[in-house]
Amino acid sequence: MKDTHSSERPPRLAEKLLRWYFHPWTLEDLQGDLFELFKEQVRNSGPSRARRLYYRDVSVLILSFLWDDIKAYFTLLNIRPMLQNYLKIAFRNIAKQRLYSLTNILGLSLGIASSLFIIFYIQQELSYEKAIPDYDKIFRITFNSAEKKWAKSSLPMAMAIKEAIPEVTEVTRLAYQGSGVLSYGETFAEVKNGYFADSTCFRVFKLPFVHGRPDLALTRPMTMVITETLAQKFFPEENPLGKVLTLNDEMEYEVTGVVQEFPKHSHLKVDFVTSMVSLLQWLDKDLMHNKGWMFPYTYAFIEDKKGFPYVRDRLKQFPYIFYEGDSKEEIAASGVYFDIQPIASIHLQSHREQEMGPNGDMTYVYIFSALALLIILLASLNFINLFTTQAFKRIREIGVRKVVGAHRLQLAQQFLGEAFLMTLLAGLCALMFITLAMPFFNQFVIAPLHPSDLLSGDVLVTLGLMMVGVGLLSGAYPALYISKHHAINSLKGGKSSRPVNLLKKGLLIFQFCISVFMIICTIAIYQQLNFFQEKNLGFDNEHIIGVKLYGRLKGAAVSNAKVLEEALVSHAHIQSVGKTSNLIGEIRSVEQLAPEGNDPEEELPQMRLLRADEGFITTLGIPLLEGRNFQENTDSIAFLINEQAKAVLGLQNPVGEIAVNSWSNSKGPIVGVMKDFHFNSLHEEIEPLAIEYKPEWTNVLLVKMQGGEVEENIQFIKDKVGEISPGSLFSYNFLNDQMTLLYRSEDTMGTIFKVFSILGIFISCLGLFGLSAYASQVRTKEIGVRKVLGAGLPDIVKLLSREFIFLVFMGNLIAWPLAWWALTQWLQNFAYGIDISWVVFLLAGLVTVVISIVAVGINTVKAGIQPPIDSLKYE
Amino acid sequence: MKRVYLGEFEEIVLLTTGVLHDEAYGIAIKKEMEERLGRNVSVGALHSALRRMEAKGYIASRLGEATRERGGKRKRYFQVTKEGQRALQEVMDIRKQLWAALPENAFTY
Repeated sequence: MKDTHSSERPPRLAEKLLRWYFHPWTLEDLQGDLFELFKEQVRNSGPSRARRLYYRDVSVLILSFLWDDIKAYFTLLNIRPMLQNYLKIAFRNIAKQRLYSLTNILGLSLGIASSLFIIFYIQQELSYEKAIPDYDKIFRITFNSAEKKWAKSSLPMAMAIKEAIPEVTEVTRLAYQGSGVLSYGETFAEVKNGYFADSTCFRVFKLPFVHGRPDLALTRPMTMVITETLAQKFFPEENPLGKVLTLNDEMEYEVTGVVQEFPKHSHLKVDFVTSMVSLLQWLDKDLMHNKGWMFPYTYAFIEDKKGFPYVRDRLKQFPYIFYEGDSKEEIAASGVYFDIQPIASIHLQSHREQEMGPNGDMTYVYIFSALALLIILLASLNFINLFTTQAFKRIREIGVRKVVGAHRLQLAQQFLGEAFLMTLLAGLCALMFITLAMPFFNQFVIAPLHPSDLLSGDVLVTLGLMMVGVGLLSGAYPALYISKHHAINSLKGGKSSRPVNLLKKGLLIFQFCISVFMIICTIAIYQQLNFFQEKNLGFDNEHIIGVKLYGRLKGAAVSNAKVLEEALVSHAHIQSVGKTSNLIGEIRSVEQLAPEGNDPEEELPQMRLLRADEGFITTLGIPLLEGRNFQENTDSIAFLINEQAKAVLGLQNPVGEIAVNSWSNSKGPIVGVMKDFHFNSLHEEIEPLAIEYKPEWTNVLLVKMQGGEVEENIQFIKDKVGEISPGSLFSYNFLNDQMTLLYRSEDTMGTIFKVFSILGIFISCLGLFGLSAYASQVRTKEIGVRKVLGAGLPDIVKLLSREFIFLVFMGNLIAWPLAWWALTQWLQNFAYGIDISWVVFLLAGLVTVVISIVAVGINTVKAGIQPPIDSLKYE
Repeated sequence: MKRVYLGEFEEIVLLTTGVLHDEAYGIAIKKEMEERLGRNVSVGALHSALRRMEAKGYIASRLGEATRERGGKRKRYFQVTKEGQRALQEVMDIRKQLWAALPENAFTY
């Protein structure tokens, strides 16, 4: 008789839960009680509410009993001897299965170690600016025109902002002064980044001072603040205050302060600062008030952090205050606006025109995080797979324990404990690996790690969490599943019917999917890097060195240009020399060049500008399409332009036209058109470029060598340079090396992917190896029977490996489209990217299949050559 | 004598079990308590308390009859044991002593 409607029955799932948790002895009356309540609720408030309440009651019931059980368990049991026994058994097991334990622990520890490394790396990327006191109150104010988003802004902007927006507590400007050589007596130091800074600089960046007063240090002209490192170098014994340092043999600055250090993890790439008033006293009045000349970086300190959104809002109105002469419509039409960025966001998120230095990229942080997650997942899955396989072998032990009276909870605890023990060992190994691999890692980061950093709280907590996570995951499956087995079945000999069940297959497929994915990415990244190196950049970059020109040396190199050139070229292995203001990859200046007589009202074309002499394009081998090169005696001011510039200027026959650089106020003919060449990195398209003939403004001497011993050639160059300017520091680098710096983040990524894909495939194969060993062991008898019936070695091998190779194939099939998608996304970063070829996918597939055949093969061949009598004897 | 520990909730459950005497099974105890306390009592908390006290020997239980109202499942009836009675007594004694020890002006404000 069916008297109840289905909705008037308690929910099945809840009933199941109840049955699952409670022993049949206590189950009945509970079920009865709950049913009674349920009936009543149905009558009172309807079936749906009754069902909800039923669920709630069941869960509260189970939770209360569980809580009691746990408490009782810990108070009633005599835990110590039991734990001792577990530990003993665990160590025995590890020792008994040495190979298995080793591979398992090894795999996991490699995974942990490498993902910890990635975490370190990400941590460093995220730590930018955090070392600056009150970094969260410091902001950079930037200028945006319709064409370009600048990191810089104009000189008058800072004060105007402070006046217009009272919430801005303090402003300061940092204006690039240049690189060069600082000297004190006979001591030299090469410095890359000197900045003019307002006296408010250290009221915004509250960096601790070692000597001097932060508020007074930069108030007078010709004063400077240096870092403690520099101070140590120049004045190891003396008080640096009041000493005079010479910059580039010409400027003399008095040291009025010594700052501890500019933080390494900062977008501020500053080696020393000199007072802004020194600059202002030389600067042309027009330039000083020029609102279109992007020169300094402007920083604001906002005492009340909550004022930030308000300030951002006020900045929208700021153009109307700043350009007070212009009408509202004009300003709105010009597309000019101002932005404010928290400095902490600059390193990873700001990619503006003329940043202080190359910034990082949030995308890479995401990619690396994903990678760390993948690798730890891979390693854990592998661990879980091997651990559970191993646990099944011990089904007899479990049977015995059950017969002797082990509670299910105890068995579960034992397996969890063992899993934790192994993860603990793996964690220790991981720490060891990290210490060993640290020098390698330190090549990629600004702040090198030290082994003692590993003992910091953060690291240990992360490591602990990883181990607990993996331990729980890998212990939970055998703990819950195996402990369920009936004692009788377990004792009968552990029929785990299918050695490699669906779950394990899934895990393996997943592992191989990850490995294949990483292999494909690695190959593609290397192809792209290779492409960067092989791509015809439109100029010659082999065997060229750039010698830094500064101070006296610069003067000498310009005034004795011919002498130096002839002296150098006289050497059989030196082909040509040239001078340039910027090296390839650093051509950042944006100026306005227009044909003479252009309507002044019209927007002038902007382009990159470089200053060079007649040797520049010959040394770099840049072909001319029209016109001629600069000529030393005929040209006073002249321009060379590239094809892009020709297009921007809109000139049919540019050669012979007179052009005006409105920024430097120089006027001269365009003498030739260069073929486009990649003067900046391949992330970007080729931009319009003009080269102005101005040997006296150059900073680098390019020397092209051909043949001969490089060392010897360089020594020769050094001698000749020393002859024209004795006592100057000779500093050079190879153009090639300079170019690789442009692709540094890709290079780092390539290396990391390479290491990880090798690790990935290694760990996956460990798993495959372990599982196939187990599978052939379980089927020993079957193999014996087959051999007796006439199966040969190849048949056996085929039989045993088919399943695994299929899994590897599946992994490949899933990984291919994923990798294709990811790479397509990544390649969009580059103006010049490779096309991904299907060969890459096939190659990755082939690699994994071959490696896994080897891993499986070792075990299957071993099983196959065993004489059948041995396999049959096995019981 | 072994020290008794009886939580407040346990004490009430135990007392209610006594009050209901022959009719003390899960739902009956729950309803009685809810009526007297004026608040909801969850089956889980009740049963776990019952089991705890059964383990301590304060109550005993027996299975009763099955009814259709209960979907054919038998009831489990609870009964306060001698031990349970002693525990209740002790708790009450302690309270009595405390009340007696209260000074007259303890609750004047």
